[in-house]
Formats: sequence, structure tokens, C-alpha cells
Amino acid sequence: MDSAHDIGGKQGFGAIVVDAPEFHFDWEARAWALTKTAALFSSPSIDAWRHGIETMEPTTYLTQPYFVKWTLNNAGYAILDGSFTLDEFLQGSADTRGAPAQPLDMQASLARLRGNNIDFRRKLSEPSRFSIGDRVMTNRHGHSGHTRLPAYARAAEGAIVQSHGAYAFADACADGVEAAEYLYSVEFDGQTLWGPEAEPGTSVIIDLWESYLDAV
Amino acid sequence: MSDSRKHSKIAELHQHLHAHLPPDPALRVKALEDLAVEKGLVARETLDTWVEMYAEKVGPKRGAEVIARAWTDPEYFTRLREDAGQAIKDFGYEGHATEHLIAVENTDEVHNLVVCTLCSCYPFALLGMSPAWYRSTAYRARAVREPRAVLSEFGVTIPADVKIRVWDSTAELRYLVIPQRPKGTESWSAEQLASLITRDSMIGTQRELVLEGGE
Repeated sequence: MDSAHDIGGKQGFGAIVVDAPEFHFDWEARAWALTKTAALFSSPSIDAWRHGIETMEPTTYLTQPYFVKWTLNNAGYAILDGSFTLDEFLQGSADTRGAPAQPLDMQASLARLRGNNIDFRRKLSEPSRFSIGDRVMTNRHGHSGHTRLPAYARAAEGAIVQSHGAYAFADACADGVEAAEYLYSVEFDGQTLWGPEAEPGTSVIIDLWESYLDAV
Repeated sequence: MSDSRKHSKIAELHQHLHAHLPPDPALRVKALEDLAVEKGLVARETLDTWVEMYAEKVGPKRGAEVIARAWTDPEYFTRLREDAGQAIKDFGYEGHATEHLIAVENTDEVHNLVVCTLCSCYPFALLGMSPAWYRSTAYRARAVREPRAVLSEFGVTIPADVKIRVWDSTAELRYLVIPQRPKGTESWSAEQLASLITRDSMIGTQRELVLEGGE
């Protein structure tokens, strides 16, 4: 969808605070841990979860801290899934409790992390349309669902530099539909994307599914 | 409820929660933690351990170890370039967002820089939590459009005759930059070399590694 998350190439954001730690505050690490360990928060697909963040009202998206957005999204999905109610969340305590969860120790946590290397490759019977070296044109339009063709690279001509085989298609998976498409890395010259103001000697490589592309 | 109905509903819930929760972010996270614990969805000890794991065991040292081996073991270098997601399994460093890892190599002619403009994708299990700047709107917006200006804010000047390739992680592929091995380290061990390799050099916001430590 065309919303505030699609930020590549937008101007006016100012200098980057380069001397930044991973976490500024303990609550950020806590929100990270909660997202990765409480099973219910990973119940939607990663694509649906990302789309949840994208649907956030743009002023909220742009002004709320990163891990607050995660927290709002996790709470929202838990309420939709019936794991707890809106009232329980706003009052900060459960009306009905569950059996306490078994704690994971360090060894189990490390094993869980390793087990989280999800394979998104799929098999397709039809051949891929494009090969390395082909020139392609990206779609002019996005759509109101989840999509991974950034606005700054629409209706732009680039070259296929890597061909990865078929992968689960994010746009469909976000809607709970299992579908796959061939995935490519497409390189765009800076000039193509940014015109005469482009920094010389720069390019951007973007990972794009086949239906985002047309032959040139 | 259909997934598309959920998507419109979740936006309403975000706004409702945002309007009614206490403004302090720490209290918002605590509300979710307390409720998740009371519902039996997670144990508090599990959260403590996860935080400790990312502080002590999962971080850029893992990536540095992988790259130092690639510098000293040509067979491993080839495997890392061909399928980094597999190659890091030698170390047991696979996990969250590393299955489809791609290692891109800096050379005298090319500098690589990694960003995720649409969210903040990052190879967590290999490099640990991303630095806050990587997740910032400023970095996400600017890295694709003006990488030379962005790098200058990190104190990095890329010569005009070196091309910058910016990798925008839009799908489930994740990128690891292989920095150039510094001259004068020919006799160094993999362990000594690993001590030179920084988190930022593996994202691409550092180009030259600084010779300190080692010999």
C-alpha cells in the first residue's frame, strides 16, 4: 500500500544519528524479546505482520518509536485472534488467566533462534520469464494490499543481476494465500531513479517478484 | 475473519490503543508483557533469557568470525559467496532472517551498502539487533538516494571512481557485506582478523578497517 512506511528516497529527514546503540532503553529489548518468544505474536505470517505495521495511520507511523509500533501491532493481532480482549489490555490485567508458560533457558532459547531460519523458497513448474542480464521495467502502480515494490522504483528500467528461483510471494502471503513467484535482484542506475540530481557512480539493487516486472 | 478484513481492523485497533494507552513507551510494553505472562503466553524468565542471549551470545562477533574465516580459507570464501545462508551453518549461526543470506564483496572498484527502505530487515541471528540508525527513517529514506552523503555522515568518503551499490532488502533475502581485508594482515590468524571486523563494516557504513589489536 502507498503509505508512510514506503520511505525510500523521501527527503527532509535530516542527519543520521550515527552513534546509536542497538537499544536505547531496556523496554526496547523487552519488546523485541516479547515479539520473538510469545508464540501468538508470530501467528500471522511475517508478511501479514509487516502489513499490519503499514496500515498504521501515517502520523502515528512516523512519530512513534520503533518498538512501540511493534507493541501496538502485537497487541492488535492478539486482540483480533482472541488471545485477550481490548479491555484486558487497556486495564493492564487479565480477566481470565492461563496456565503459566514454561520458561525457556539459554540452551532452549539458542535452539529456538536457530530453528527460526524459515525457508521461503518454493517450487514452480513453469519456467521463469527472465534471466540474468535481461532489461526489465517495473510496474507503474502498486496496490492497496501488502507489496514490496517500493514507490521510488516504480515505472523504472533496470537489469536483472541475480535470479533466485521461486519464493513465497509476499503480496499473496499477507492475505493468507499461499502463492509463489520467481524472485530477482534488479539493479537500477542512480540516474534512472533520481534523475540529474543522482550522486554519480551509484546504483540500487532491489529484490523483486516476477509480476512486478515486464520485459523491455 | 478474512485477512483483508483483519488488515482494516488492525489499523483501527492501533489508533484506539495509541489513544488510550499511557504515553510512556515503557508502560506500553509492560502492559503487553504483564498480560502475556498472565495469559500464559510467555514466561518472564524467557524474556530475561532472550535479552541476555542478544546481549551476550548473538551479535556482530558472529559475523566477524564468519568473514575472518572467509579471508583465511579460500574454499570457505567460495561457499560463502555461493550460498551464505548455508555457509554460516558451519558455525551454527543460522536463525532468524539468515536462511537466504547473500554475501556481497567490497573491492577496489565497488563498495556495498545495505538498507531496508520498507521496514528494517536485517540478518539478526548473524549480526544481532540492528543499530538504531539502521531502523531510523533518515537512514531508510536517504541511503538509496544519496549513499555518498549518508556515508560521509559516518566519516566515510568513497572515492569518485569507486561505485556504490546499495542493496534494498525488499524480499526475504538478507545481505552481509564482506569488507576488504586490510593490507599488512597477511600473517594474522582468523581470530586476530575477527577482532578488526565491525558491525558497521558488515552493513557497509564503514569501509576501511582499523588496524588495532591483532599483532
